[in-house]
Amino acid sequence: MFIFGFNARTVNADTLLFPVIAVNPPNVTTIVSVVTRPGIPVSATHLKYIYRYKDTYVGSTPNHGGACSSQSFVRPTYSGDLVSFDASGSLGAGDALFSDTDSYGSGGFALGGSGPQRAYLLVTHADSTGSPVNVSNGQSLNGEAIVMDIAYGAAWGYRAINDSTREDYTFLSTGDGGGVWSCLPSNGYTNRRVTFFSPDEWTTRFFVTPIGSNMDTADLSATVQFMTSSGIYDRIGTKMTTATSTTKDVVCTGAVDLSELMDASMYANIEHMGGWTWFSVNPGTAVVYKLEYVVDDSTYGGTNNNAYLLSTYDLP
Amino acid sequence: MSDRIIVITCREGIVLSLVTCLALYVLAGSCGAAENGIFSGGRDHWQDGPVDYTVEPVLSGPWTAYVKKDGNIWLASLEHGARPALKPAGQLPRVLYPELVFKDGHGPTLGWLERSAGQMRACMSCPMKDRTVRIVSQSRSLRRFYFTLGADETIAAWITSGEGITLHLLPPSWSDPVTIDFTPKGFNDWTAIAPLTIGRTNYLFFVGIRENRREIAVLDGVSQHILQAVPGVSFLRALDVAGQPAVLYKTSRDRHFVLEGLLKKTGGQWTRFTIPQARALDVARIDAHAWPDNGRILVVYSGAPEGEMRGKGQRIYAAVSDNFGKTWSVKRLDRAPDNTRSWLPRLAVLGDRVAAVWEDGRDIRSRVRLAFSPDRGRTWSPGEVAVSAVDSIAFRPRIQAYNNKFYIAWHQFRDDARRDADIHLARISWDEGMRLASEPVKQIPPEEKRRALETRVRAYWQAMLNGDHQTTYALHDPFFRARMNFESYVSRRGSMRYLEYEIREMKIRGNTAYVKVRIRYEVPRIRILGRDRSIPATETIIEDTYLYLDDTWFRKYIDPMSGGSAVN
Repeated sequence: MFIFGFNARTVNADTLLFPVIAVNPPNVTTIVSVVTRPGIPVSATHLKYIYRYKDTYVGSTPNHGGACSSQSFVRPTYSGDLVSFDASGSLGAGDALFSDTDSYGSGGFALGGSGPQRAYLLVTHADSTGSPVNVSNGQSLNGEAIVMDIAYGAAWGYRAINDSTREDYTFLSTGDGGGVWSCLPSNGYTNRRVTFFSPDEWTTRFFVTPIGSNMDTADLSATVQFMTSSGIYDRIGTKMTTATSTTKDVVCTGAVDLSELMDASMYANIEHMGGWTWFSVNPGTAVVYKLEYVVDDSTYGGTNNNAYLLSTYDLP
Repeated sequence: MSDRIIVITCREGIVLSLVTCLALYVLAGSCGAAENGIFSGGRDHWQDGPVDYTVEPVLSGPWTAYVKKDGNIWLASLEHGARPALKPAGQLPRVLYPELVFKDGHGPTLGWLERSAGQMRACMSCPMKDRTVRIVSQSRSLRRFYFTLGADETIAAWITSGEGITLHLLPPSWSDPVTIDFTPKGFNDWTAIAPLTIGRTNYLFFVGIRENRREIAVLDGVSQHILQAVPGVSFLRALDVAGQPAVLYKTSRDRHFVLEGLLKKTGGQWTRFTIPQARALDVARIDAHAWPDNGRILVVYSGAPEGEMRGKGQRIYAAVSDNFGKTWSVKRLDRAPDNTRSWLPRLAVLGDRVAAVWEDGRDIRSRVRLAFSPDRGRTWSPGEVAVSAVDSIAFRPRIQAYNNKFYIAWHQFRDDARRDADIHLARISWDEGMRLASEPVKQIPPEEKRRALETRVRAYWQAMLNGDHQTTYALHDPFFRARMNFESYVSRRGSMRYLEYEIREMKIRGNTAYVKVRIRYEVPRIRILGRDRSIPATETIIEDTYLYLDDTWFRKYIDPMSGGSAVN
């Protein structure tokens, strides 16, 4: 059965995925904005927010393999609504920001918890009980997020993912333009070429969020690696090989440092020079952002804290 | 192949304009006194710079070669001073992979690849006294350059390119050079080249790739032998074991890193051996020596448990075998805490006496340290000698033995901002080294160190409560302060107010400490995206890292968004 050209089995509710939510009090917050497009059915009175989160570190070690916990709540919305909030709960106690006079009920929008945390966030049309509502439109929500350091002022941002070929909590890699276009692998491309600056000076980190079915409950995993069989090149064009690929398994979400993706001999070769290689995800599918940071250095015009999506080849 | 060898005689003090290779520069062959060197440590220490620290220094005998930041390649020794190998006439080429070989009576010979205007060339120079200068020019894409030295003091210059590998044999007279094709046969590509010369026989070990398989193979000038299939190789190290060719390499077996070797037995067969103690160690680099009389093999290597980040946890080991690799005994050489990085060892041998040098991070600023063995690696000195200063970051050391002394070269940053580095060259005798290695190391009692840490943590957080930025700035690590001046620091402090603190936990590991602090803070007013906001009084637990250096503790600045800092 088809309704308005969509397959009814998959038209449940429009859902956004914010793949990177970073919280590290007192400095780091993530400000999330969600827009409900005009024209949604009156039955879609609410949005359901589902955080999948975990501690950033286990001890002092990055928490790549830990499973996520869920935190979900339902907040009102309406046709044409815009709501912004701080996922860390620091700003405005997690309530709607920027003099938003709408009533969203009590409890705010924050992730909660304490200490450094990583998460992804799902937002979907729902009724007051949180049950998904079919809005018959694959793009009735859109969102943006800014990860910022409120003490130092650094920030980077991204647009939320809206998989228009599925309207549930499943996000799949598809090449038809309606799915998750710039995940890895996708569109026949299994890898992305990436450059990296000298790691003794710059921090290069990959924010990895595996995608797939049932992201509201599932702890999806993906294995990331440099394609060392193709070589890692230094800045003077030397191709270097390694004994075996150094892989990292990421469950739910995580941030993998450049140095975790190469063996010690390779790291010694590029430590003061940097280079480039191919980044791949196999097995699994993931949305990946590359973050680069350097502490205040006049060579680079001060402190830099930048991240961007490892998108499909030659596409923004 | 379009190789050409141009032989030009360069007499002392005469500058020649070379036609083919030297379109953009002329090569100075003068052999005057030291130029541009700064003697700062008496007769046994010398430095020069700034250097291009992405090119590691090379040593042979008492000589070292290095590339300066202006692009010129220099040759220097404590005994003879320093001189440039290139004299710029316009823009200098980019010098890559310098190699150096020295033999008494023949002086040092320098080799390198250079890239200029899209062309690559391999060059060799003997800029001492009344010597000749030889240039091998090749217009195609070159990859690496290596020297080996034959028993009759013939210099073997190995030049690899995407198209092939050539060996250029240059006798001591520097006349009638011979070029031999050493291109692997039947492979799509080759990596991890390791050349070796034993007597008059030249060997080329390489990892060949064909039909998606990787194989270690060797060419001996007559035939090519496939030795071992491997999933991949991080590096090869060729070795003369009592007159027989051998190669050590890092590969993986059952998804674990291993150090293996291949040795040609006297009957002509090849045998494979493993250093079992290195299994599942992520080895960053090895160096090796074999004694000619009994085939004893000594391998020094740095390795960390698989999965360690940024080379952290790398330790220095010495492995010895008295039976051509069948069995090994391994000793750990460094005495640094396991959460630090001691890595990239090199060794030098004077008869039975051995010195191993490495980059050692126990003092936060990495230093060059030495250990000594009087008996071919059977026993080692009770302590280690720090060759470089405690207040500078030293890295990538090399060592050579010559004339009953050890010569060590390394790079060293001029300050904690780590922008410019110099080359340092030091000379140390066996007796002096052993004496220094026996001296007791000054140790701070753990309780004193812990008290000092608590004092500094309290000083930091009390200053945060007081809004005393001068104090909090001064308590940050010197690497951060070298990059960010006080004014920039203060301008970024924002409007956060700290109300309370409580130290919850302090863990000290070597010169690094991890401190958990409960803090209570508020932000009375903060402007976000054009609007004023505030954060009411809030509590959180934060974990700080403190570094012990310059005889006190400093709070390590760690960017809360990226986890990055000004020092790794």
